[in-house]
Amino acid sequence: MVELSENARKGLDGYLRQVRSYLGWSKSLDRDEIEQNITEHIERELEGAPEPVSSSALEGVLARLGSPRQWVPPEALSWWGKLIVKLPADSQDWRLAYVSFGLLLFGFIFLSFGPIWLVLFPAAFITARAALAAAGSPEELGAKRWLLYPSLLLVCLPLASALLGGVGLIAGIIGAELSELHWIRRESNMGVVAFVITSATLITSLWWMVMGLVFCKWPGCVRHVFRPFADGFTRRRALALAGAGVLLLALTGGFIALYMGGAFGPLMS
Amino acid sequence: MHYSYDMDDRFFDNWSTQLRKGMLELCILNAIGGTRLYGYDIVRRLREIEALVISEGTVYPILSRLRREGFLQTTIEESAEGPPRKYYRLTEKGTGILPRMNDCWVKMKTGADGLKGAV
Repeated sequence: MVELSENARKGLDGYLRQVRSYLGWSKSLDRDEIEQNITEHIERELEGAPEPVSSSALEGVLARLGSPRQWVPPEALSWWGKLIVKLPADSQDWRLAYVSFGLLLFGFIFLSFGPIWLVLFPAAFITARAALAAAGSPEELGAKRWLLYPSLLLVCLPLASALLGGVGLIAGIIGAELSELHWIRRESNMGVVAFVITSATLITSLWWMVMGLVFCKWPGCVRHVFRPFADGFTRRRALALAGAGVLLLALTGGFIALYMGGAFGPLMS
Repeated sequence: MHYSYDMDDRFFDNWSTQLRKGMLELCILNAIGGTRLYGYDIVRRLREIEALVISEGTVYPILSRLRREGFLQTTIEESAEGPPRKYYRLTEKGTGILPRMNDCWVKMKTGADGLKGAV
């Protein structure tokens, strides 16, 4: 590969990132093949150019190659992609960012005026996701991200919390209800608080292990749902989640063993 | 009249874009013809046709599609000048369809030319 200046390298990375993102709207195109075509084309175009190649020289080549969007022909687009290509992708166009933030703001203003927020908040989220998709990659959003991310966080944060802790919470509540009936509590004479915490952590650990293994198989699901916050989510991270589950299970098992052995005395009864 | 001029321009742009899109596949297959060509060389040949002014990036997805549809086949060969290169060549199916496409184009062009003096 010809040697690029730092700015030119950033420019090329940004272009490839956008192409990759748009290629995500089509299942029929071969990403690797297209990326290879782009890099080969650039390489040939810049042959003989003084190195390191300046960003202006690279920009000329990229301009002739055309917009990253046109790498995905309309007939290869999914329905969502067809919708997105109609949206403004210009980095100077702030309309979608304003609409998303406006919807979010109105959602909060009208929070105490009935359930209209149930429409406004999802609409703000969908608009923000559409703006992100139209931009191609989070890096292309620039300062617009500060208007878009609040709407995305409003959905992503509760969803992530529910995914990580929701099952444990439910297990804790059920544990509290069943505390008098469960054999572990009867056998160990475990206090209600200790039993609830144990139930919650035990189920949470198992849930994290299952989630970790599922996400290890399909890490793209996490990246897609929590975009752009989980763009770096890989199989390794999924395995780390499963590992955290194993660790929590071991700690819970150790706690139960110690409790049954009377190590905590009258504590947590 | 400025508004009307803009409208005419837009109409012409849309029409010529559609025409170019339709012609691109024929031009690509003709450019390859009986030889084998590197992707970049196909783009360079098409670049020489002024009326076909296109973003160069539109050619590669079409090459990819024509390959998937069986009109083209590719071979990867080592290059002394850089990374291995992908060469495109017409398949039997591609060789079969090309004369039909050229015939169709000639008939359309002849027919359209014939209409010019009809009014």
